[in-house]
Amino acid sequence: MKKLFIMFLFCFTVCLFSSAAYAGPLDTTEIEFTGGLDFDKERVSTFDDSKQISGNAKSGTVINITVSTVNFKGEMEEQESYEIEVGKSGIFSQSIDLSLGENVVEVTAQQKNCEEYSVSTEVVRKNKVIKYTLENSIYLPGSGI
Amino acid sequence: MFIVAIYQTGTLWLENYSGHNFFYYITSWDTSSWRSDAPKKPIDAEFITVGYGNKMYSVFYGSEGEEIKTSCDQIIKQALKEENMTVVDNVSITDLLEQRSIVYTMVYESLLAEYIDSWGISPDEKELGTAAFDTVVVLPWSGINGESRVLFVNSSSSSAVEYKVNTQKGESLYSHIEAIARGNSSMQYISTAQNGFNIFSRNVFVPQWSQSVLQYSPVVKKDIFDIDDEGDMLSRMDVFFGSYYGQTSDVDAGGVYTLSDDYTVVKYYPDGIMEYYSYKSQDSNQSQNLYSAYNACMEFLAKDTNINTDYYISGVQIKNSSIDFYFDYCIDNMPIVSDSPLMSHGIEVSVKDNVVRKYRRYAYDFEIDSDRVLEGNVDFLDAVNESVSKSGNTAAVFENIFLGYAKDEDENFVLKWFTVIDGNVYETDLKQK
Repeated sequence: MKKLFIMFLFCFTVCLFSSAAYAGPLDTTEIEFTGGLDFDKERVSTFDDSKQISGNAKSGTVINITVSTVNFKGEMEEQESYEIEVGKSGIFSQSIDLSLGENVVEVTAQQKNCEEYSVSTEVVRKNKVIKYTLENSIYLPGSGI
Repeated sequence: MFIVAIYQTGTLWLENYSGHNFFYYITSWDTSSWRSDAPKKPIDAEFITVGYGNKMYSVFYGSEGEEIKTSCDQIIKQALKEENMTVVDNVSITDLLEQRSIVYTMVYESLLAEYIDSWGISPDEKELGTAAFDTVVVLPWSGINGESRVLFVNSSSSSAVEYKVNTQKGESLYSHIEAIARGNSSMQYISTAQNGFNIFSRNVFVPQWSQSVLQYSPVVKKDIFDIDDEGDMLSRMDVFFGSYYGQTSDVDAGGVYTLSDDYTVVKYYPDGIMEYYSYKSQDSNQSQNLYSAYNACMEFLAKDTNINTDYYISGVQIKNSSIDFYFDYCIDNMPIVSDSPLMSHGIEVSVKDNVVRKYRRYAYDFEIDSDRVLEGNVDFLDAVNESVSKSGNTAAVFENIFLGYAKDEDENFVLKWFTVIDGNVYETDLKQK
């Protein structure tokens, strides 16, 4: 009985410190954005009606991009959704359409045996009429424009 | 004796004995070995890119870009005349492309002084030195100060010579770009540099379409010459002789039609290749440079009224005694890739002493078959990924990628992707099977 107890205690101790029994955290999916939107910023403004989101990721990574806007009820409503699987070149690129006003662009990336990566940013699309007005205005010092 | 000694020393220093005096190596220091008094013409761009300022572009080949080119050339010429010039180091093409822009992608890196001279403007050679360029970027007026910028960019050294010019033409060009953007078709281009595609060794403008499928019409190749109709052959070839008289014609056993006189020979082969040779000696003392040769080339091509398909310059080769220009056909703003096993380009022109000595043309017309509509669902990324697989090199560096018409197994000319990796060309169908 005593031997049995010691054997049990030994096995328990081995299991407790065994690296085989230790489950470490998964690596996060690697993705790098090289064009389109700066996801380090919470909010950006643009006059463009579309953006080209580009970057690098490991081959086989599945990237989902969703564009949502706030509907008349004040709820987030998905407008566009895109799915890309990164090929052997390791680059990805997707054009997304933006509605006038506030758009929430969310990107999720999933690589095999890795944790999902997720990031989002708010993109405010402004009317191009404002841009034309600004381009054609003449600034006079003290005019208060 | 003293006075005579001074006089003799002075004549030794200053008079031109054997063609040079004491100060010969200073006064003859000259970067203008390219100079030519022959008529010159600025070389056209391989293609013209119009940037809307939102990282989207249109690309024009051949005469499709003529209207925008005319507006742009006026600004370039005025900028060169006004000479408000600075040298810019560490030029970032991505920064330049953030604005509305017109980009001339040249096929050949040439001396800026020589290019300026081709406009009939005397260049400031001491300031320009040996500055060379392979890209011209025109940034038209975009604000209230009315100043447009023209940059002659050297991609390999990331440097540029910039000219600033105040002109109303800048404002109209700026508006013209806006008009092109509004009327744009479903196909637009993106810049690989702006999108951070570091697998490309240089900036490339890549086409993409907004819908999931691209619809387009194929192209058909049509015969021009009929060697069984001698009257037709003579009427088509007289553009090279100027008259019907004094030529002899012959058709050999291989079906090669030859028309010749004392100085000129024109041949037409059954495989559709036409050749022209000129043996006439020239009395002119005018030396040849790149732009005088190009002028001679273009004047010659304008005379060949048998060319009904649009074309664009696709290559230049400077040899010891001649300069060769290469052109390819294009249609609907798409290049047509030659299907001839004997000619890698549609048109080849060799100029020596400012005279076209040899001219070869893949003598067919190309037309859109608007009765048929094809679809393509392979985008540039799919083509890039497939090329990586074919090359077997996951670290492949791309030199170029473009969409062009090429012959398929059914003898139709359909759109295909062409990617260039380490000098090797990979072809990808536009339609996934």
